[in-house]
Amino acid sequence: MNLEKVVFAFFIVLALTLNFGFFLGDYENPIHHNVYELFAAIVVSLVATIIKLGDKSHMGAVLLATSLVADLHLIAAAILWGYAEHISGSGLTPAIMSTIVSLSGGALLANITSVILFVAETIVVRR
Amino acid sequence: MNSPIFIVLKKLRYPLILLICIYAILILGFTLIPGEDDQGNTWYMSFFHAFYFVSFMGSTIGFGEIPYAFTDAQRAWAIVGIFFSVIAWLYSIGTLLKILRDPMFQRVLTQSAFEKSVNQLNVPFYIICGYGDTGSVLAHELAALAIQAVVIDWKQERIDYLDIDEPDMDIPAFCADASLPENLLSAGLTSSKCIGVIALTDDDQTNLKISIAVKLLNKKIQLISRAETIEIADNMASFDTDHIINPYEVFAKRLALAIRSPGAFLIYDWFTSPDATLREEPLDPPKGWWVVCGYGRFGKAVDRYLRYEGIRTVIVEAYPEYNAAPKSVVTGSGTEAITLKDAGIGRSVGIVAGTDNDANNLSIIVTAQELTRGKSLFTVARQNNDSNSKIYDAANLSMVMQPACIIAREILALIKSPLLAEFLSLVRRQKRNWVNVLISRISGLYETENLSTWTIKVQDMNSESIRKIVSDERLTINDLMRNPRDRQCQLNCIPLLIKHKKQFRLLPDNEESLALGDEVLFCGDNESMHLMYWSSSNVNAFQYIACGEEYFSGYVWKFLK
Repeated sequence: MNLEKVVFAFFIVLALTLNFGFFLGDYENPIHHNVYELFAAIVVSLVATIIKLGDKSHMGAVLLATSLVADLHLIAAAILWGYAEHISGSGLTPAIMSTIVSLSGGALLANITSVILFVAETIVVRR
Repeated sequence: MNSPIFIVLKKLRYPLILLICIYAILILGFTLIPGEDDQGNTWYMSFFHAFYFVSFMGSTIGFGEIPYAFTDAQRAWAIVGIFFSVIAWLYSIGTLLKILRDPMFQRVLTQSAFEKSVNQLNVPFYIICGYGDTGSVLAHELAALAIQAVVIDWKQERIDYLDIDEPDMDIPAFCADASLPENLLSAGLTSSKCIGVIALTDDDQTNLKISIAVKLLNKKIQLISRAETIEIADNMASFDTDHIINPYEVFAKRLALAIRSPGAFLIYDWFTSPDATLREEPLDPPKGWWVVCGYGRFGKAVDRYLRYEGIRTVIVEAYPEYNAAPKSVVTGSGTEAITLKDAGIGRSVGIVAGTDNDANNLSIIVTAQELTRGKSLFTVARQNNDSNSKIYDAANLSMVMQPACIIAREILALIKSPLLAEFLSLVRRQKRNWVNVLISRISGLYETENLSTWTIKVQDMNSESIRKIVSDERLTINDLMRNPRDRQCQLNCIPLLIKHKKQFRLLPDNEESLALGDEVLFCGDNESMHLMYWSSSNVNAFQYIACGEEYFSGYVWKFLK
């Protein structure tokens, strides 16, 4: 058992599950989407990105790319949330909430790709 | 992924993870700790405010407590946060500085800058491996011919020297071991713009490794290599190295040529010499007894060629057994009068000082001149170190063998024009009279300082009318020699050699007609060279010199015509 692989898999899967947890629920209803969950998803996603830096394999390069995509989506969602709550003055309207959730949906897709790639690599290794 | 930015990011992984974790914990803490607003109600900080506060807390403590004054619990958490975030930042910045100052990282930076500048070259270039005396002469001469070069040398000081004494062209240079293939690849070995590799390092083994790498990685380009021993030269020849240059052999061959045909030697000297100081009169080395001091690689080559020309030699060598000298050798260094007398300097007409020590070589020559005062003695000395040029000039020698200069000349002759090498080898086999006529023709026409040689290839340039003129056999060498400004005037040049369907012919007639793909070697002054390059590469100018008509390039004019 390789500790590096454990940490690696842990962060990739955790990024996906947190992302999924945030995404789940009614699109327009802020009650269904917890801000702490979005925060956790962003932090875990960032850490997962940095862990992937320096992996010279082709798989490492693709995982880095998908992870960067997820980061971008989630950070955009967080900025939108902050804008709605503090800058626009309108609060979390259903329109903004649905945009935030759909952005996190995009991140979810990128995270699913990461996990699929990771699982595929694991199956090829068969150890 | 070996670019510098990835190396930095990879090494910054731990500091970055630490920063993210500490920020995450601090932000989370601030959103969970209850505060009080200005009316005394319980209030929770939002992520937006928490992120704002934590961001400036580490760097600029003192922006104040926003949006409401903190409670004691929040202040306690801020104290924890200040210390941890400052430590995390110090650690990150320290690591970053350490990476930037790392010599390996610096090397990666210079390498990637070098690779970038090689990739950006949009003209054909040569890779010069080894920037010693020869490399430096060659790079300057190539720059004078507007040919781009890229330099690799394993000594940083030589690369620095290139920066100080750079020719009129930007030459990318990199300090690396050229015998390692990856460094050759960095220098653009497999680039489509690379037209040749010149291996000039002072180590034969390195040159051999470079040659093998070049032959295996990019077969199409020209490979010129220096080799100082016959074994290495044979080894290089075995895998088709295009040109192998052994400075000792080349010099000995030239000396033999000067003895056999002084005129051919003069022509060789004129056309290959990179410097402006040229002989006007042919050298005429006398035939008779010669003394050869030093029986190393140089002495052996000279001895062999002199004997081939029917000249009797006496060898003087300090270590006859070590250098496998023949039985008739005179033992001694040659710097003492007694040794030279033993070798029969009194009856000799020429002396070759060929040891690997410059001081000894000059001492041999001066001693020999003292001993044969009143007689003319042909003196040849080997110069090992470029920095001794001044004293060699002062010694007033008949010929100086300077490896750096000889190799540079040979290579220039090969690069400047492939026909030139062919021309020189044909001239070597001509009779004395023929050569003397050519010399008087050339010297009657030009100032020799200004002498250039160039090759013109007949091309159709996608023009129907040029194709027609050539196929009607109406284009002659005379037409090529017309001045593109006024076709009634002739350029100041002589056609030396024509290559027609892989056949070479010396001194073609001016009225001879040319076919597509023919190549002609001319000699003449620089101005004629530039005008002819222009007239042979520009469709309109070519049309004008070929038939006296301007070319109509627009469709309307063609139609009206």
